[in-house]
Amino acid sequence: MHVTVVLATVGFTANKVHPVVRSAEAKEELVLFHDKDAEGRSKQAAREAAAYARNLGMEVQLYALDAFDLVACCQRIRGEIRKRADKDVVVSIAGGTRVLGSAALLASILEGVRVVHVNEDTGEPQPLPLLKLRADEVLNGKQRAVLRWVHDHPGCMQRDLGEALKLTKGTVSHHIRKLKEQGLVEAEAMPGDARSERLRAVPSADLLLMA
Amino acid sequence: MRILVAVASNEEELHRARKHMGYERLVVLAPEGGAQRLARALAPEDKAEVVELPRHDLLACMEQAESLLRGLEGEVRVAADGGTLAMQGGVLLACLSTGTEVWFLQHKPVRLPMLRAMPVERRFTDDQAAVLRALSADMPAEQVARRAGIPDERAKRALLALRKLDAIHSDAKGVALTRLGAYYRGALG
Repeated sequence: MHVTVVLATVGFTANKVHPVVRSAEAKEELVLFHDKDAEGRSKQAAREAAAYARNLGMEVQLYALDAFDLVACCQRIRGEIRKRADKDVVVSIAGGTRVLGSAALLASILEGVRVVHVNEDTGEPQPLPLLKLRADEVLNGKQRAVLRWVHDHPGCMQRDLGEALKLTKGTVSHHIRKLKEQGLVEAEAMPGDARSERLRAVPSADLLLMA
Repeated sequence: MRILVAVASNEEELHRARKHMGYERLVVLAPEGGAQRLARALAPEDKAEVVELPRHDLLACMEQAESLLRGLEGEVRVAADGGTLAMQGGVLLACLSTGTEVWFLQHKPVRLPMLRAMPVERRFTDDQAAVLRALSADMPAEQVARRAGIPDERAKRALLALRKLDAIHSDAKGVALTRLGAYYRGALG
């Protein structure tokens, strides 16, 4: 692998990080994400992986995350990928909780970087398909603006949105319907007024609003 | 028909998916060797089928899940956070590849935005796709160019890009597809 930076999730053992580091032809930096709790086992494994990488002359960064918060983990890992936008980056999802692994996988896809898994049967790194997503196919500019406004004003109503963004009732209704279909906005009917509803963005909407 | 696809390696994970998600038909993705155990946890009224996935081969999990999802007709939702890490990752990739609704239910239930990856044919340039289609066994680069029907220089550029994507490897015998490259070629059709 032509890699200068390896970002890796870590569980209870450092062994799954080593094959990815070994397979990187250019070894510049290792960034490790481990569970902040797990009674220190994950942190200890991350330290072992860090020592291994330092022996190979790599810079190492360690980050403790809540390994059960999918959206927060994903956003943090994306942030670290973006800091290294000028580097050749690969993300390893071989260790850690399944939530942490999925968050790293999602972060890689959203940022368009390569991702590897380590097959437990063979111990070999397994490169995974690069799934390119086109942001403008997920949300167009107007939908993004509507989603941003709902996100920043939880509990708002469609008429508030129309006034704030200077959109007609029909346009607002159209965009909210689309955002609901995409699972990005939820609506709660107001007691005593079935025609009105309070809107809020779902937590995973953050994934599409990251600037 | 509302179809729930639940990734599970034990009864607890299966129960969590069934509890949170309504369905008319259930497809359980179980780890190899685990289907019988999960089938025993299901009732006839579940209208369920259990399909086994490899425990540790993420790419194989993705390929099998992708094929399954493309064959389902109805309103499909996937509860992805069960099974092994490889199963979960493979199913997540399959959902993003096919544009299927996906949920994580452990701890705080989270529905991911409906994301759909570009079709494989749009992820490669014309030259890269021609090279992927042309490659078979170990082959010298010049032969790849001839079979792909493009000039040597363009073929070399395409090979370099494909190598960076881990789609090909090369040694003294020539250039060949990696397993990932074979997946891309299969998807290109």
